[in-house]
Amino acid sequence: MWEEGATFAASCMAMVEKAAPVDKNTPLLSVRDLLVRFKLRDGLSAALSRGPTYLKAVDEVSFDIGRGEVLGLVGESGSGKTTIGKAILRLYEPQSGSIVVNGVDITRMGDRALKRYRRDLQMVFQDPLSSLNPRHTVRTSLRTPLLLHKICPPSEVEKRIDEALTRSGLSPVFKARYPHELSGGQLQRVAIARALTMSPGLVVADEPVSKLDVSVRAQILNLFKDLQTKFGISIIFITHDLRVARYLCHRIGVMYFGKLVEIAPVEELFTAPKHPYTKALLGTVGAEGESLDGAQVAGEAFNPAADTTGCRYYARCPMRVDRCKTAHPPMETIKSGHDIACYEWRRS
Amino acid sequence: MSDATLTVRNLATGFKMGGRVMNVVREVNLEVRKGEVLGLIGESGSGKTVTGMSILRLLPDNAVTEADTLDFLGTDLLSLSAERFREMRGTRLAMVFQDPVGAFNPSKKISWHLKQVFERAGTKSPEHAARAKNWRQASIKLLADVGIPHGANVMRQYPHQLSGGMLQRTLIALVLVFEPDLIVADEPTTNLDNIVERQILRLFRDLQKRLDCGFLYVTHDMTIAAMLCDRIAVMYAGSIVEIGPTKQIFSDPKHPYTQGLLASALALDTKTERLQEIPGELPNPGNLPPGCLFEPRCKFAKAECRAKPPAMTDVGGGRNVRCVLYGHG
Ligand SMILES: Nc1ncnc2c1ncn2[C@@H]1O[C@H](COP(=O)(O)OP(=O)(O)OP(=O)(O)O)[C@@H](O)[C@H]1O
Ligand SMILES: Nc1ncnc2c1ncn2[C@@H]1O[C@H](COP(=O)(O)OP(=O)(O)OP(=O)(O)O)[C@@H](O)[C@H]1O
Ligand code: SF4
Ligand SMILES: [Mg+2]
Ligand SMILES: [Mg+2]
Repeated sequence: MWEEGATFAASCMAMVEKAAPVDKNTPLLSVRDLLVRFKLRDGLSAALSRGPTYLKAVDEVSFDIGRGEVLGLVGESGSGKTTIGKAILRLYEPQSGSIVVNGVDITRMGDRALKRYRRDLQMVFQDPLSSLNPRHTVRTSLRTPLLLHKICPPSEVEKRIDEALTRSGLSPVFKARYPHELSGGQLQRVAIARALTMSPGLVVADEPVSKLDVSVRAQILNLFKDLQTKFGISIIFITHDLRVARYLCHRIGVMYFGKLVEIAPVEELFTAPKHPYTKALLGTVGAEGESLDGAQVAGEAFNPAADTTGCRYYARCPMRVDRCKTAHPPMETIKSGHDIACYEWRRS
Repeated sequence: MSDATLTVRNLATGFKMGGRVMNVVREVNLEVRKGEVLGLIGESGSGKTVTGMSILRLLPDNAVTEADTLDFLGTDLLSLSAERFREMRGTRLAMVFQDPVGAFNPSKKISWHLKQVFERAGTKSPEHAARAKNWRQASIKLLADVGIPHGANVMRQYPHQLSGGMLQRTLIALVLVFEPDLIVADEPTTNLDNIVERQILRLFRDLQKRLDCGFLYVTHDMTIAAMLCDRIAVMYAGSIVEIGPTKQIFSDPKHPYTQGLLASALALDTKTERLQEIPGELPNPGNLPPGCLFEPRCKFAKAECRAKPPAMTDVGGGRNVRCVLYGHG
């Protein structure tokens, strides 16, 4: 099924590619200056308040994903990682910027093309419970998209579902269950299986292993690795677990309050991080004999509602200088593949 | 007087499904002492959440729970009326749910939830009542404590407008309002980055030290388990297979499942091409083996293991293991 699936995914991509032929070295996906904002207040309270009415959840973020690449997104909770994923799926309409897949800007895509695109792009949602219909059994939830998009002949649907569940570490006996009858980690595996049955070319996996015990987690991470190496699937992997990110990802982007602050090849990021926030984040991982008492304090954080103009990390940054107050630093390439947004990176 | 906050003896829970009861948790014995963090780790689907929910009577109607003892600070939870139980749960017993979304009313703003909780906690003591009067300010302070500096804004939002981690922290803030005697925390920090996570763990530590609050702490994160828990219980397929002091469990795991789990956990700390899984098929709840539940995957399995489920054996040093390798007690 996986072989067949992968060829199918390739043919889907080919359909998009027809629109604009591209060579294999161009990225699969290019996000440019993506800005997604949400309304904080309406009507009277908006008129009366002095603060801003909008929250920029994703603030002019740019990055690329190559074919067969696993890009990790890590960072502050609430920094916009899920919002980026949902914008790529076009569940959120960006305020500005572009998301180009195989030469086509999906932010301008019509309904029919969008349907085709969504079949080839799958998201494993951070909250699996709300992404599954509570009135449908696991079987129905997995069958429906397969039949709708005619992914395989109806006679093979059941076999395909069983195989996807098994590979995701869940016995097919759970097919008859409703979502509320499953444990957190079992639901998470259903969500993964559902995404994989579709043989996607690109998967946005939002914290897909956070609710799994370490043994099952190992199984799922190995599965993702196989899908990537054998079939060249591209993955955006959102996680708070830095060790997981290091194991699976080729490159990692670090987010802080709506901004991408650093992006680099995985080993370079872990061994030579440059942004002070990245350093703080990495400082908390893998320390031998780590105890709570020595842990650092989050301290005063950036307040997105107070509309600061300077660097988002200013309030917490141990390296800040006056210039940092003036504007958020632009993204700068310091080495091939290593970009950073910090005025003072040379000092670190 | 014992120093136990919670004593659970022989807890079993099943669900009525299609005319029969499917047992998912059996023979659970545990004790959470005053000011102690008891970690609950183990297989996904092994019954950690169901155990917590059974103790707090939060399971759906088709659940059947039985126990010999469920004692909470001298109160017999089994004989408590539904109404008294609800009072208890709102003030002295609390749960941080694994699924934060489900814990909120989607049509109400965050401020509504906080107000409710402050009013409820206000019945506990005059200090709590005083704080309930100023619930707005107190809420903003509390949200800041859990790492949300723009609390005033967040209070105006609906649950679906918060990120996964913000919702999780808001739920923790709601529980902190009560200052309960026992918190069942079900993977409370899975959606949080390391820095904020440490901050939350310190808040828990503070409750534990300042108010002698006990925790039943469910987690998949071995680093946190090692850091936060005094003792640890390991679950597999509905049973506790090993329980004991944290240090000993980590330095010398006895049960073959615990050994496999810790080996998988360590694999991520070293640079490796492929992660180690515990080989073999995961347990199928409809078709469990007659003897030891781990037997089909266990490399030490022998005929004896298939005969009947092994009993919990005291191996000394406050440790108990459910495995024939350690004798029959
Ligand atoms: N539908 C929405 N309406 C209003 N605000 C929203 C909405 N979705 C997200 N936000 C806000 O956008 C910001 C970014 O949220 P997002 O869910 O992308 O964060 P995240 O990086 O995924 O965080 P976490 O790690 O906690 O999941 C948050 O401040 C959140 O409150
Ligand atoms: N309402 C229900 N009806 C039927 N079965 C259920 C119900 N709730 C849970 N179960 C089953 O009970 C078992 C234990 O579930 P539980 O949620 O306690 O697991 P868990 O140890 O918390 O796992 P995880 O680490 O994945 O959260 C699982 O096999 C699950 O499928
Ligand atoms: S009782 Fe036997 S089968 Fe079970 S874990 Fe111990 S050795 Fe393995
Ligand atoms: Mg998120
Ligand atoms: Mg659970």
